Amino acid sequence: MDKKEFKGIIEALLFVSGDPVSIRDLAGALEIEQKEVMEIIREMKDQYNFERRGIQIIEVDGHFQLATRPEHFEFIQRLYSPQRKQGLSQAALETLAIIAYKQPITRAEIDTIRGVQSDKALYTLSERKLIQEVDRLDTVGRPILYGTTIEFLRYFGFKSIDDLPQLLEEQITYLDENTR
Amino acid sequence: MTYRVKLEVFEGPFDLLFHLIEKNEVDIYDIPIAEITAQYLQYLEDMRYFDIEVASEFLVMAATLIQIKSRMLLPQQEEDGTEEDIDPRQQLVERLIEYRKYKGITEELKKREDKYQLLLFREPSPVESYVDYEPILINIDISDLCKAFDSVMKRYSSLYNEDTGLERSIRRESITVVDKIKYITNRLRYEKEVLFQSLFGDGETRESIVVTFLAMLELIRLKRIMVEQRNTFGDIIIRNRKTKAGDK
Repeated sequence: MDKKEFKGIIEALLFVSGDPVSIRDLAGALEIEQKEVMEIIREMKDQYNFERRGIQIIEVDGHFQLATRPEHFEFIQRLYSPQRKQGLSQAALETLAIIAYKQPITRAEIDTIRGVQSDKALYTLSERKLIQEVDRLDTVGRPILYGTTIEFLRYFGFKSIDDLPQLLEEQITYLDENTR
Repeated sequence: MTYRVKLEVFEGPFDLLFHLIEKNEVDIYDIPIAEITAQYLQYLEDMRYFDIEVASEFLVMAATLIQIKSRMLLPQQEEDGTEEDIDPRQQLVERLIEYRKYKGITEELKKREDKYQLLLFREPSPVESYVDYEPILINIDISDLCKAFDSVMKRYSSLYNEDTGLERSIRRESITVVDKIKYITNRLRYEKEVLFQSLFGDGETRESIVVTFLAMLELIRLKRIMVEQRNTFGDIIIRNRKTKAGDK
């Protein structure tokens, strides 16, 4: 099979799946090395971009998925008038930011950082599959430990969790200043 | 008569405190606590005026601020005579700074949300109706499983004839189905096929046997394993079930 054939197959697989497909599954279906799949997908991405195609391949945590382009949203809207999904509330975003950086984390820890209760925000985030229960803490009450999902990465356009912007760390902390 | 309501909504006491610090352009490491406390309390007053319910967290923070303010007025004297040089504001500032870290990220997430909402995706094609998946139970039905379970229980009771009568103690659940699911999936990771009998060791308690069995049923329900009996009355074999891409 030549490369062109592989490209066609990958396109078909991504089209049928709809959901993100892992590089491992793609390599398994094509019976070639993952490295080779990566290479082919990279070429496909370039090609799609160069030809300004209506679809693009996005990467989320080692998974690939077909998506439309943001600049075409306007036209899609004219045809279908899709309702733009309600964005997340400030409380939900704040809670999500904390989980993203401090995962796995319990509700109590989130509440401490935010200074308010977060159960409603946590419920919304779970509903929208942006967070999940990753484990339970081995302590009284076995509280749930929350973490982010692949959907979280996709939702915000991150390739992987390492893609998150750096926290602005204060170099000189209050403590340092005091002990000086 | 028109009311002009101009009251910002804050996510919590930290959010409000931040707003005040920024509005007053003061150094977060050197908060003029009296001034900020006064403004903070004024805000709570305003909220009450507009009939907005003040969440208890805001009140707790108000109390904290007042406490810090009073401690700053008094010279701190430790019992052993040395002067305490810890700033009463320290803990509050540390928490504010921690909160600020995530507040910045929240704004970044908001921007990205707006951008990536414009991408649309396909629903998965309903391939299920065209593709045959591997069956879950091969040459076996639930009564075979029950029989197999019975025989394990029999082996157990012949080993430990503990059913002596009235005396019974209820022990705390120590093994969970989740543990046993992990155990079974772990074994399937390294062994292609696992014999049903081999899931139960000789030293197992009745509870452990029951839980293992439940774990196996759960894995069947989740369609993660398949159970096969190659010949009548033969051994029951458990295997991983091949699933469609993306299934976990």
